Amino acid sequence: MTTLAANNNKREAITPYGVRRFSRFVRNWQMYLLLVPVMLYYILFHYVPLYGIVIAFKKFNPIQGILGSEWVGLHYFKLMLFDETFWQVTRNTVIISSYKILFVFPAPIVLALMLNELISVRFKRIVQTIIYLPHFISWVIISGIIINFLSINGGLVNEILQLFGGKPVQFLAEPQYFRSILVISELWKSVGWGTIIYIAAMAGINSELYEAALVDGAGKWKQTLHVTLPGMMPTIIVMFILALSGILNAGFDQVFVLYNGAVLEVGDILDTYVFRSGIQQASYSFATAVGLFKGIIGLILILLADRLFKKIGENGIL
Amino acid sequence: MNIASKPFRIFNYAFFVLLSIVTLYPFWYTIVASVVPFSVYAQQTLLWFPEQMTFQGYKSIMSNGVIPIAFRVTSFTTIVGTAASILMTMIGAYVLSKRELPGRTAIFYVILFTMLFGGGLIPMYITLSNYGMIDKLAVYIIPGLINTFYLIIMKTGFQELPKEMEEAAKIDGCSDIGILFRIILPVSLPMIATISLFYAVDRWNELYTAIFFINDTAKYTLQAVLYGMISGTDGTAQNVSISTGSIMIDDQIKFAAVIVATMPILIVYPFLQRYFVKGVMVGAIKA
Repeated sequence: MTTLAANNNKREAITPYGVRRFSRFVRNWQMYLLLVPVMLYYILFHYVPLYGIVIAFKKFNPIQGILGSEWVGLHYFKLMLFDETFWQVTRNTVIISSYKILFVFPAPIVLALMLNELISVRFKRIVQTIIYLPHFISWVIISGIIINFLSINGGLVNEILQLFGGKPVQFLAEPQYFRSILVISELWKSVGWGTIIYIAAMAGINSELYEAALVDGAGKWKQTLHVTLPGMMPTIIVMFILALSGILNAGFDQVFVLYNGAVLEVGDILDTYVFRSGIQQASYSFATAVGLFKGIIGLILILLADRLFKKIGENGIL
Repeated sequence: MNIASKPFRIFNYAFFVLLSIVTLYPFWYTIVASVVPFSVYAQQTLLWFPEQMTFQGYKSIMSNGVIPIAFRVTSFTTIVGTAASILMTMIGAYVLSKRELPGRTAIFYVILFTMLFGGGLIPMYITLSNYGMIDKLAVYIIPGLINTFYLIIMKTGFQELPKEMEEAAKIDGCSDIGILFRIILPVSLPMIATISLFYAVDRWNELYTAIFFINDTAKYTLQAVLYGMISGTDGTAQNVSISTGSIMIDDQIKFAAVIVATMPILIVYPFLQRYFVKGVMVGAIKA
């Protein structure tokens, strides 16, 4: 211990102020060396693509390249604002996200509360292992199962429907069912895994609070209402604000594998619209403009969320 | 200890038994449907148990070129990609965890910004095209090299380590890089293993890189091939079912492909599950 202090003192004594500053950089040269590949990655694959945003303001032609293409200013943004499909997909995105926040968001909370009441630790652990599983399965695989279950000839759901005397329905091609299918499958996939963070939040509640409530004569239900839920509130609020700030992401992965031509008017979201018009229809500039719009709104939402966090007393993300 | 009322407890247990069944049944159905002959598949609605089994479906898809090739591609991208990602993430997290490093905060914000705002799909496509990465296997590994969220988790994890370890090593004359690999790495092995698992699962399940950036179907990942089979653009399922003399219909073949694509995860999952959970808990609390 003393040797270390003595060494430092020696170094401080020798170097004057300006050189000491520089020597801090030099002393850490290995760190900066390690940083080089990392920063190279971020620059090449995250910041250089940002330059590509300029395509939204040009009439992009792959042959002329980004620099050679003609500047058209806000032309594509005006096109976007007057495009009916754009407003339709924006509406769909917000509606689908809202449904998910309404139905899928509370579910893990309720489930966590119920899991907490299980007495047998072994049973609880087995259940948890089972319900976490769908989170690790890709949407492609889940879509394969869903498409088969809902298919009009031989699909499980229609077979059961017919057993009860109903007529088979091509569920995935009916606009009226599509959003429900999205919400229900999202629920199935994410509710188990979502309980983890709420269980962690519950574990952090002071057990003395429960004892005090018990002494005051509170039964299970009252305890949940007055001790558990308030104790989880900070976590719930954080998760809720995060969910709200992500409202423009309705779940590209899921929608992409499940949607089809028949349900475009209810199921097409911003991301799938960008994909189709950009990659498949090669409307590069237009798609970039829509993507930029989404990115900017998303950024604003996250910054607002961060400010909200700080206002309610949590540390912000930034 | 206070316990809930008996009726509620019974309801609770019953509820979770039901939930477990609902969660597992789709997988069970898929497995059974992929190993029974068509006669059984057509008859039974619920497919509780395979009366007769045939592995003809699996034999056929594994001998047809598409699936084994895609399996190889996905295995390659998962193994190489995860290794590369973990190395880079570790390096970045370690450097960022050093509070005394001048300029650290600025660098951190530069990295954090990329999580909040991106150019979007088209600029990325054009950038990758300019780098010559479109339609090359490298596009699976390099653009997604570092997941900033995982980087932050690792950085926080490194910051929690006691400083005395490093100081002791420094006194012994160990270089900064040496400290990382000889001291920090062995001690943080559980966290690094967990994040590696997250990367591995992300890579194995990845679909979009293939769909957006790859044209040559021989370079498609398992998920992309599966997507092609399910959406009908790939005729493999039909071809296989015809060549097996219709012991199974193409729906069943698709199920077999689904199982092949997800089997590694299904097998590995029960054993590694607690690492995933722990990782999320740690990450969540930090965040």
